[in-house]
Amino acid sequence: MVHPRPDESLADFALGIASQLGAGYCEVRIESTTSNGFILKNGVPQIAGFDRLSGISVRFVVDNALGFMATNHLDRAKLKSQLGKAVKITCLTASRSEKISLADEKSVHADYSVKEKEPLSGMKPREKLSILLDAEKAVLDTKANVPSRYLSLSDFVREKLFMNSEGSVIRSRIPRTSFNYLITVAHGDKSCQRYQQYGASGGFEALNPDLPAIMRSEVLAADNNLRSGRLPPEGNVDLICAPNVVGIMVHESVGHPYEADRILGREAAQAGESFVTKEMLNTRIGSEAVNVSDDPTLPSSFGLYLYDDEGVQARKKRLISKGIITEFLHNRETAASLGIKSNAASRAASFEHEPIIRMSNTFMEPGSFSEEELIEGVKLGVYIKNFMEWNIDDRRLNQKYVGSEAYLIKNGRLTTPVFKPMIEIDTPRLYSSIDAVAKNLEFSAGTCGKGEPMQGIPVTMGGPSIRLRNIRLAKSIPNDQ
Amino acid sequence: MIERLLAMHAASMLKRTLLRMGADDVIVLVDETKALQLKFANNLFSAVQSWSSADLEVFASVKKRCVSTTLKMLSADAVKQCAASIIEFAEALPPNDDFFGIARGPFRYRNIPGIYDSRISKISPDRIVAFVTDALKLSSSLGASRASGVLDVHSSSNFILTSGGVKTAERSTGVYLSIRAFTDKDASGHSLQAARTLHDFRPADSVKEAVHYAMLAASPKQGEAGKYDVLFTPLAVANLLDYLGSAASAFSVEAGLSCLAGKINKQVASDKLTFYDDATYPGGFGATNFDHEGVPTRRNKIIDRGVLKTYLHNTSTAEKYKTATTANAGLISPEPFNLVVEPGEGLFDEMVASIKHGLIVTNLWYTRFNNYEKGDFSAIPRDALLLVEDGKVKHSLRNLRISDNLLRVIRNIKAVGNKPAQIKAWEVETPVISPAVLVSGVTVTRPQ
Repeated sequence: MVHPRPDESLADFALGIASQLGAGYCEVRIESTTSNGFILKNGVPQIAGFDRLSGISVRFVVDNALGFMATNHLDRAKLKSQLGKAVKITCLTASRSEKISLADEKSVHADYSVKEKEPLSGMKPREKLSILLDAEKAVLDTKANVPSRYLSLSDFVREKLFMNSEGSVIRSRIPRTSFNYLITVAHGDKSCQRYQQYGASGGFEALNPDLPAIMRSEVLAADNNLRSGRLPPEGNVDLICAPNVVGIMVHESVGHPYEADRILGREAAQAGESFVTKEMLNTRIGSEAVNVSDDPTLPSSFGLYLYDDEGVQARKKRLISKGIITEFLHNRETAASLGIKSNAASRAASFEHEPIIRMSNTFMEPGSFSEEELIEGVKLGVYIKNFMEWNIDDRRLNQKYVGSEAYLIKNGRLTTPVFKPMIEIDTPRLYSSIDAVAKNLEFSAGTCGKGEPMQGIPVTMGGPSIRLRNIRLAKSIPNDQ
Repeated sequence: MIERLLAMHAASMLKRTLLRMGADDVIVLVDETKALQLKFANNLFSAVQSWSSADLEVFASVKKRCVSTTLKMLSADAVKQCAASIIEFAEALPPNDDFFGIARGPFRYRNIPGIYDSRISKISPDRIVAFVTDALKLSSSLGASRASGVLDVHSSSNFILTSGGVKTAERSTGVYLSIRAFTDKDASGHSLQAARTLHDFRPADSVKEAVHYAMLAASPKQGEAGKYDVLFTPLAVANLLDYLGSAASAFSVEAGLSCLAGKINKQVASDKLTFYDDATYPGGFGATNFDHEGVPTRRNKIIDRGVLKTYLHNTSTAEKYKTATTANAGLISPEPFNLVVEPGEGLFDEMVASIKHGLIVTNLWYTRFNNYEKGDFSAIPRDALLLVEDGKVKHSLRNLRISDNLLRVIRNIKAVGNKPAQIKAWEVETPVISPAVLVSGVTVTRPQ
């Protein structure tokens, strides 16, 4: 089915109507998205699906109040009618509205797309499903007891047209792929589960080509952990956290609390606020070894974009430099309130959502050590390769990470598996305990949730391995007993 | 109305075309929704959002190959192209051996009361804005320094057409207020109103509750790890019950996402707990007349006085489990619609008075499972978290985490309150109607 390219004249029409209705600023996004999805449950293909969706949204400032409307009716008369109603009710809130001002930006004309070496549209449904079937086979070939396997694969291409009343016109086309699994590995009465998401932008070449090897490794490690895993050592020990764990740490306790809308209270009733205040800029939060960035421009990344959903050119943000808080994540509204320029962190999950401040690819910058050197520097500790359970409070201070694949370190060497080591720590202590950072930078994909209505948005999170000194490891809670 | 007629015509044409092209089963769902949201933060409006959409969702099976899609363009050509794409897509797939067809109708439906209010579909913008301005004035007058939240209003029209002889429609409405009041940076209370009719919508009650908890939350102290009796308010327990409801889906049982697997007819919870999925609950925020196969919905007792009685099924999972559908079909998997805990006899104040060493948890968030099958999880109390000693509230606490097991939590239910509240929250996806629930011996941890 032919999918129409986002129509510039329709966006122009919406901008004109908004202006006639009194909007001082207006932006329009028109999107067309093509997607495919496949689910394999315990080796049986479940439902598969495809969608071709399109729609338009208009965001505007009228009487200093912020309004937004979205529809999948691309008919001009309906659009005009809905926009009229949206402006009217927004005006009614103006006397008790936050006075919206937006940081200045130059108008931009741009057109970019992410190249596909192996185009998503060129692969037949059966070939896509075979990716899942190959992963399933790799699991079964291990001969381990894996009573449930839930695998899914999706691909989607979003074509977007952004135009605003300041003259910006930005077209983009970003294809993405995503592979997810939840597996249960059992041994006797014990079991453990692993969930992981892989995602990238580009064609199918961007997805990790060796998913069967990844699955095999996951199952064998989990089986070994169930058979031979010991409880973590008592008291305070040193930790080596591998890239998968470092990624979730910096996403949860650096990226989120540095979102300026949370700092200013706009998400208080949803994702929460932040322990970080605007006064904490240029103050110490971690050791000299800690450098954390968010970079939407990383090629092939799941969180890639070159212009945000306010039309601001994307750039790398250095959130922590040598342990000092150096930058927050901003949109034009929060930037204006702090008297600075936006750093292009405004994203919407689709045309149906308002753009809000989001992460993209958030990671700890690599250091100069090898992972082996970090391990060699530990007399007694635990190496945590990946995790399953995690959470953090809504101000981003009190966090927990429970390791899945983990090993005891004795006298600088990895020894026996450790069963579910649990880190429960507050944010300043976490980042102050890091004394060395390796150079093995790796990323994991995720779908980050924020906003109301909820917006799940593609991100990556990563880092190299890091060493933390003097950390208390809690024992995991035993299963239902 | 015109769009609706067009969509119904397209649905009918799509069904006919798919069957002619070789589909064995076809479901077409038409959903037309108009929604408005007023978002507020720090006592001010921060955004006004409105949506208008018409979706035509399609499911088809061809020789046990199952495909779903969404159609937006309703022309005859678009319908034909969509049908051809579905058939082409299906033919490229291997069969789904877990699929056993869809329900055969036609069925008779009863009209669930209290899920549509014409006054909501015609409500004036001034009145919607006044809901928020009145709520903010009230919260300030009661002592809140600031409040944040949303007010949502929506009206929907749904139509279903299946190859099983189903052709029916329903209208529904909803109005929702979420308000989080603050008396200090560290002192907040959250409360919600989820109603399908204006008659059932009492925003002032929620404002008062949010401010009440925010007052109690003042000057929190660092809590200590240990075992506590925990009184979960409806908002807090709804978070856990949402996971328990999902775990009852037969799909979750097979996917490794359920701690209820293999436990039918076993005692999984305290005999104080009787837990339903009831899509027929009058005024239920998730109540609906029919599931996604068009089967008339019903009240399903998932847990009866602690004994697990059933999983939630569609036609295919029911066939596999040699039982009847529970009318919980979604297009991909069975899902709960509207979870309900049968009220007990506990008065809230008496339940507090019965606690020797415990906590009142008024909100819970970021629940994550280490092992869905075993039920091991942790979750973080949010907003007012109150220490209770010898039956009296001492002071508020901060910085604690519930780190326990879902089966153990429901097995240790000591008392269920007598006053249910309807909860739909940012982290409670399926609406839950539950009173407060008292659980003994809950494991609580704190950070280093």
